[in-house]
Parts: sequence; structure tokens; C-alpha cells
Amino acid sequence: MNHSLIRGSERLYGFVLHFYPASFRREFGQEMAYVFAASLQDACAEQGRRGLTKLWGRTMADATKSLVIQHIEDQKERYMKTDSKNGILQNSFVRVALATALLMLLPLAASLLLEDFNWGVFDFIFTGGLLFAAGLAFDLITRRSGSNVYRAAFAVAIATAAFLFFSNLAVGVIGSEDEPANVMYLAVIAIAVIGAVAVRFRPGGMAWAMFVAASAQASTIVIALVFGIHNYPESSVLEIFAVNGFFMTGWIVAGLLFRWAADSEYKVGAKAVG
Amino acid sequence: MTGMDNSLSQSEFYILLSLAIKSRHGYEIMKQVEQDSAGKVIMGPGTLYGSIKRMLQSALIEEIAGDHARRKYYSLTDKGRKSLTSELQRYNDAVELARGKDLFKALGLI
Repeated sequence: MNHSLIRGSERLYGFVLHFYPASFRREFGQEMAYVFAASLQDACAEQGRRGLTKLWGRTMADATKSLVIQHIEDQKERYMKTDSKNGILQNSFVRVALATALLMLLPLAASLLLEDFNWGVFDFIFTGGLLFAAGLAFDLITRRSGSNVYRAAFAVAIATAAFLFFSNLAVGVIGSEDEPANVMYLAVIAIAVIGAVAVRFRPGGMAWAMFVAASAQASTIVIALVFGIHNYPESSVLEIFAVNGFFMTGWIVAGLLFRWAADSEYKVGAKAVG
Repeated sequence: MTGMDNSLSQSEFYILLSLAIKSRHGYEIMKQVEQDSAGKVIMGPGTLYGSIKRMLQSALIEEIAGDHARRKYYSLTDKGRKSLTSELQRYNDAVELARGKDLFKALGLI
């Protein structure tokens, strides 16, 4: 078994550990790394590369599940501390759920009053879930930032991602919602999300993540034109430019706001040091 | 602990079972659980230490000094031992009941 492959696996698992909540990582991170390293040695000794592949499959499933659980538990612990002081509306879950419920009254009223508005149960659940997830992400990530510019940047980024996601699944950015080329737009959102996580939501890094997402959005225009998608009846060249330009503007505005937030942070820091 | 009835989750039950005879560190617990469950419960580090964290908070287990200074060892507390005993008793009662009603044969388990 290649020694560098084992060392690489250990390093990669060390990187995965960074995604756990800090308190959990501090308490158990070293032990988890040890358990993984011991499992790795056993798996490689018993089954070689096949063992390594199986172990990684199990480990990634385990990490995905436990990351979600630990982040939820971490948030719960924080809320229990703050809610006892500040009341139930300080709880993000409650606050965002209430806001989502209020927003969902709009399509509910429309479906009751308008004959052409025919949303099914799935549409309500999907839209509600999307709004709740977007609101919760905004609330949890920006709550510790004192900068309104950062909050505004984040709101624009989340709104752009959510609108792109929703419109893509509902009607399709290119052609109809069944057009396979629309998978590109899920990739654009994935690029923005992965970039944001990689830079740990820091304003300077977020600006770059948004600009990269804008470039990815721009590249979808090129791909659409190269593959002749503009010849489809639902997607003219003008429509492709207009729709993608709209989303590119969203990413770029978010990026510029993040850059502004980063500059302000730098100036405040420099003033404090000076 | 999970639920209103203080019953244990599968992971918690097997971790308590693995610590019933002696204290162990994380990797030993993981291997023992795999062995006790005949390979049906294979925990990764995330699930293992997530369960350990909850069980430490519930005072079912405690951290103790072990053979290796750099490893964390865990053992059952009195509460954990009582919890394991009552869980095993519950399983035993259920098995006795099923045996009394000849359910194993009726369900095709033997």
C-alpha cells in the first residue's frame, strides 16, 4: 500500500474535521483523527486499496450525517444560552419559521383567490423549504457580524442563489424546466456555496467567491451559444443574455458589497492598531 | 438518551454494552461495537464521538485516565450501568414474552 496515499488520507480527514463546530472539534477532533488513522491502517492491511475506498465511503457518509447533527446541536446549545436571556424571538429557527409562514401566506391567498394560480402541496412545501433554508442561512451566518454592508451583501447573494435555484426548477433558465442544460445553473450555485464555505464566509473571500460565481454564470452564456441552445423556440439569444445578465448582476453586486465590507473591516482594524 | 421514555438509541446501547466489562478508548469502543453487533453496527468517528458527547452530557459515561496518556478512556457511570441493566431487562422481558407465546416459531425466526 502506498504510504503517501495513507498520509494523504489522514490529511484529508484532518481537513474534513475543520467543518465540525469549533467546540466539538476542540473536544474530540484529535481523538477522531486517531480513530480514523487506526481504521485506515486496519482497512489497508486487510484489503489494500479496496479497503481504503470502502473506508472513505463509510467515513464520508458518517461525516455528512454527523456534521449536520453536530451543527444543529451546537446551534441548539447556543440558543438555550441566549434564549433564556432574550426570549423566544431571539431563536433563529422560530424567527425564520415565522417569517417564512408569513411569506407563504401570499401564494396561499393567491391560490385561493386566483383561478390561474394552481399550486399543489409539493409547491408549497418546496417553496417554504427553500425560503426557510435561505432565511436560516442568512440569520445564522450574519448574526455575529456587526456590519450592515456584510448583511446586505449576504442578503443579495442568498436572494440571487435562491431565485436562480427556484426559477431554474420551476420554469428553467434555458428552455423549459426539463432542459438538461439547466444543470449548469445548479453548478453555478454549487460554486458559490463551495466558495463561501471554503473562505469561511469572510467578507474578502466572499467577494472573490461571488465574482467566480458571476464568471461561471457568464460561461453558461458561452456554452449555450456554442451548443446552439439559442436556436430553441423558448430561448432566443436576447433572452439568454438578459436572464443570465440578471443573475450575473446579482452575483457582482453581492461581490462588490462584500468587498466594501472587507475594506471597512480593514480600515476599522487599521484604526484600532494605529 | 432519546425520546420521552429515556430509552437508548442503538449506538448508545452498544457503546454502553462495550463498556460493561471494562473501560475503553474510542477506537476500542468502535471495534467492540462492530464485534458485539456482528458487523451490523459500524460507527464512523463522527457518529461515535457524537454519541459519546451526548452520553457524557447525560452522565451515562465518564472520562477516566487510561493506559495511554494521550488517549481518552471512557467508563460507565452508575447511571449508565443502571440504564444498560434496565434496557437489557426490557429486551429480556420482551424475549420471554415472545417465547411464551411461541412467537419465534410463528414469525419463522426458528
